[in-house]
Amino acid sequence: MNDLNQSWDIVIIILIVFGLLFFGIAAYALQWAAKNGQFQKFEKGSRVIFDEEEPEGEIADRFPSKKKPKAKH
Amino acid sequence: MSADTGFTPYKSEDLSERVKLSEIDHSIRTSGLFFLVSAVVWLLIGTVFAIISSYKMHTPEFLAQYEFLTFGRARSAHLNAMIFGWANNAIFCLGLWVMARLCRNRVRHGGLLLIAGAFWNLGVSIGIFGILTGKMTSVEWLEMPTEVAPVLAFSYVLIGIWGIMAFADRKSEHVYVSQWYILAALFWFPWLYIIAEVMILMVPARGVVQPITNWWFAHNVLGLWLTPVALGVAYYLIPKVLGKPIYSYYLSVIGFWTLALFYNWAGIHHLIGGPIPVWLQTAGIVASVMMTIPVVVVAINQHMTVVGEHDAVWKSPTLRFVVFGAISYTLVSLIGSAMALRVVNEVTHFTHFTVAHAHHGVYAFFTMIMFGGIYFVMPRFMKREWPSATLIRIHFWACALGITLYVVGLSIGGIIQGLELNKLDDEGSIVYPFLQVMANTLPWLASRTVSGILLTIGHFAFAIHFFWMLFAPANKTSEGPTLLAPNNS
Repeated sequence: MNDLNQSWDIVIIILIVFGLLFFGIAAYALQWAAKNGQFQKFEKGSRVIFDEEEPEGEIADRFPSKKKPKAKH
Repeated sequence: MSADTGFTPYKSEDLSERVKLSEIDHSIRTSGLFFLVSAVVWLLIGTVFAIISSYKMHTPEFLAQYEFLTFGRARSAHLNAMIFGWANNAIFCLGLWVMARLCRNRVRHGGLLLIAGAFWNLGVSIGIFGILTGKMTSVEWLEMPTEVAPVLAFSYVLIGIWGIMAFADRKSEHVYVSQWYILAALFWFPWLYIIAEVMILMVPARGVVQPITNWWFAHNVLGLWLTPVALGVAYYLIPKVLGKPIYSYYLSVIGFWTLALFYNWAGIHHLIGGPIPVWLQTAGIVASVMMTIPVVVVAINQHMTVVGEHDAVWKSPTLRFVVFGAISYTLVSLIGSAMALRVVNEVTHFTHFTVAHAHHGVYAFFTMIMFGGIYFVMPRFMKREWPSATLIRIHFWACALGITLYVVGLSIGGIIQGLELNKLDDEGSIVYPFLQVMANTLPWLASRTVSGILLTIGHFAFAIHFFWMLFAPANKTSEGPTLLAPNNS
């Protein structure tokens, strides 16, 4: 019984250390994001998903239709 | 391959322009396909166990002669196959693919990912076999024998580190909201899993700390693992397919940080009324109600982006599923917040309502978004179209109707069950005997089996289509037209 208590003490200390580390990483991520300007220019940020290959203003997905394609790729 | 078939999923006709995006997709292709094949196989296995479990709920003598198919084992095998088999493999593919695309960099060391994936699926297979042979633990959501935990943790860590490395290697300047969601989830999941394994099974905590840890873990697997990845995929695919940016990007970022802040506490609402400190229950209730902020944020964004584009949504297999999932997210989360209130919880706790709610979240929300993602990613991996529009329609309607019937039927049955359990007469004694209450749930349990049959049809249609797509000879596709090709069609 004592053994279990002791190993439990060690485990809880390790977990608390890792928990604090974990929280620290999250706090650092938030601070980094703010300093890095991630919370500015939202208009621009929202458009990073588009590029020349799949541009803004084009529908990128449709059901397959039965017709043959008109344009040749 | 695209030169042979004449089909390309990308817009640009200039090969050199196309190369970049295509290279990113190609770099994750092998491991991505491995994860998807595993996911689909686990989906089918999980479905079979689901149907068996559901049928046994109203007809207990069904398959009762087989020890390995007793309800407790079949039901746990279903849960573990779906969460650790289907959901995690789907996440490994789609989460990492979205991450790679948004980082605008090719994936390196794809082979490592493949090894990790092989070990992960080996671990899940041994785990499910253990459950079926009676070696399961008694801890919900962690039923797999403890021996497989190191295998799963090890292979996950490889995958997680890989995702984090991909992020560190990014060529893009801005961190898109999907990247936040997926990156955070990659940290959250191992933390949840390892803490739960250690504190409940390996060096067990005493007394009520165990169920507290258990529900912190189980609820957060949904809230801090499945949810962020599904939202990340939705935040990428909805604006991507529609070709217009998200309605309010500002709100979406607030949504991420509020989710990160509140969700972690919410799991304790599973223990309302239980023998744990009341302040802890209250903290869980407060966090559950605070979750309305990130949920309403997603709802506003999703609705306002899609509004006026219903035609495009309907014509895209991807968006049909993703938008269904996003709407379900709003509904299931608001219902969940309400269920955390003590007055509501008194009725719904320990009833089938909770089961309906769990499937509303994991299926109607998470799984539907994963289906949508797979419809988008496969043509880009294979450089060819989905062979059959009909199979996609069967898949969508069977699953959409099936899960709606499931949630509505079991929710009604659950509320009736809860009210009957609580009903007292004037002298304060119970009105409905327990067996009577159980008998009254039978029609609703039968409705679940009907919905299960619909879902099974949907899943098999999907699996057939998926493998057809995977193994179809390349030359067939030259006739196939424009799943994705936007060229004036």
